[in-house]
Amino acid sequence: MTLQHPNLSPNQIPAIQAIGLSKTYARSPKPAVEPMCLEVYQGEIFGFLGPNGAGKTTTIKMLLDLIKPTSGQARILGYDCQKSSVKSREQIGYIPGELRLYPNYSGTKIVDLLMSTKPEPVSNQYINYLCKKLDVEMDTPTARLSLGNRQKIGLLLALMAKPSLLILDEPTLGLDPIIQNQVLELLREVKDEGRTVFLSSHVLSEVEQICDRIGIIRDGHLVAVEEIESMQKRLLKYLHVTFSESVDPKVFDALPNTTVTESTDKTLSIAISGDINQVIKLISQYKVESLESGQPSLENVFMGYYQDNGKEFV
Amino acid sequence: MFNPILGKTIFDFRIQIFGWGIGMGLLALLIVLVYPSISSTYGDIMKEMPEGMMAFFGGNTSLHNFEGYLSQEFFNPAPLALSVFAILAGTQTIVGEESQGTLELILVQPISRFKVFISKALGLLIANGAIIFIMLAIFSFGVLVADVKVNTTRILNAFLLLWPFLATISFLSMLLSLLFSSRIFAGTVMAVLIVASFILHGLSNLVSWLETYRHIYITAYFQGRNALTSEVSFGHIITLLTVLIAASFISLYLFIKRDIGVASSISILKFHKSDS
Repeated sequence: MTLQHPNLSPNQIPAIQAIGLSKTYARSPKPAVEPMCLEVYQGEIFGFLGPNGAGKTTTIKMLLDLIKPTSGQARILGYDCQKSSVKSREQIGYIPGELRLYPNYSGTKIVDLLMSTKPEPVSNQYINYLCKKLDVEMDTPTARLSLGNRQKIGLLLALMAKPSLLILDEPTLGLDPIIQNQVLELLREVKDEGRTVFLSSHVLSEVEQICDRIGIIRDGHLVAVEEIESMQKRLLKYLHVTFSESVDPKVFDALPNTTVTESTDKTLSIAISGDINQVIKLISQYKVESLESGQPSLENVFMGYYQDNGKEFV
Repeated sequence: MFNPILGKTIFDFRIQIFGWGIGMGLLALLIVLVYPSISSTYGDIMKEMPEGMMAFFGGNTSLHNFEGYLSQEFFNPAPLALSVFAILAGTQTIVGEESQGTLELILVQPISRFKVFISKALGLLIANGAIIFIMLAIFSFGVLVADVKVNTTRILNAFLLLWPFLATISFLSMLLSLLFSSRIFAGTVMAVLIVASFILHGLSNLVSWLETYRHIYITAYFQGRNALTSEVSFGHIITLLTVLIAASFISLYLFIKRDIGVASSISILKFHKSDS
């Protein structure tokens, strides 16, 4: 699906463009990623969601040319990820989901090594700023650091060259809440500078907090790409109703785009996609003691895509 | 930009380089230091050995001089022993790092896989060369201390000829590890090939039909012993270098086409299916 972004000028190149990008591993008959079309705009924070094994990491690795696609192509700021892989990686700062650092090297040594591969000089001032902000332990061999401290070094490595595109796979893994907030603040700074963030995370509250749009991948299919707000509006609304009398849940279940998610003799929890008025009209036929409504959280939306009983809302 | 990755590759091998270099160097030193005390009787002792045993250990070397002694006592087992390092280093260089997850750290940087490969291959060559250099330095010290008269050119050639041999073992190990996507499996296959070559090469001096297969015994291509006692076969050296270059090119091709960080398995069919 190719989406038109309202703020995207016709001349602006997408930060990420995937055109029919797919991957089937030689040993598996089932594609890890089905042909995918995706555009991530410059200057946005894009959340890439999906459970383990959905194809998130394979997609990210294809963008980085670590894995060769079976078909299709991907571009980073106009550079083909395979044909101009060096140029495309010049634009990227990356932190993998399972970060592995050289165990005998300190943060300083790894920074020095990787700095020397960058086309432009890296600002020591910015590195110092990041070290302070993230409270990075730079002088200890990484083998002796905790998961969180290693993750901080990973974030520093991804951010230090001020790349145009950050690809972050579970960036706050193992971090304490204070540093997690600092990371989110840093990502907002990146966005304010007009740079792009492609964020894969299981922490939905974090995604909800900072992402402009999200893409949801399920079993290798990109099933949705949408602004979080509009997705929440369009998708499920919840009503929790307590009646004064017994109510048959089947009556509500029979309404189109409506599902009773929980029921007791006198209470109903109803999930609604689409028009809420028909449900209100039906409720009004009964004597109601209380009525609570709520916007779905991103978690509700996400679960809606993943739980079997939620598929009908997609 | 080769230097940072090349530097890292060599730095990562530093313990093995010094360990193997000093260890094998001290063995060479010991062999040199005991020579004066046994030089007068060594030839006689070896003559008393059964003919078959002599043939198994290399046969016709001249045992009445230091070069023959060195060929028998050091350059007979040294290639086999040093192959252990060559195999470990060859399988570690790409697939070992990949399985540890650290290869990604370099490959996501704006540097081509070609340059990464060249840096790592050079690092491998230098690591093998450095071990030989350290061994030679310690050996030379022993020659000076023991005051042994030596044919410098022959000895230098014998040490230097270890280099293409070990480099070829390293690159073949790297190639196998890329094909099998398994460091342990590739290392085992390579070790079995080397040990089998060593044994069959020795037996080929005794068994005529085994002699006809001499060209497939990889240990037969080490010309260091010939450099000490007879004439070097340049054909063998060229063959070794050809295998080395071929293994490098195939490894480079496999590395460039490789999916990095995909769960490894013993499968040579791990290439991606590509439309492009």
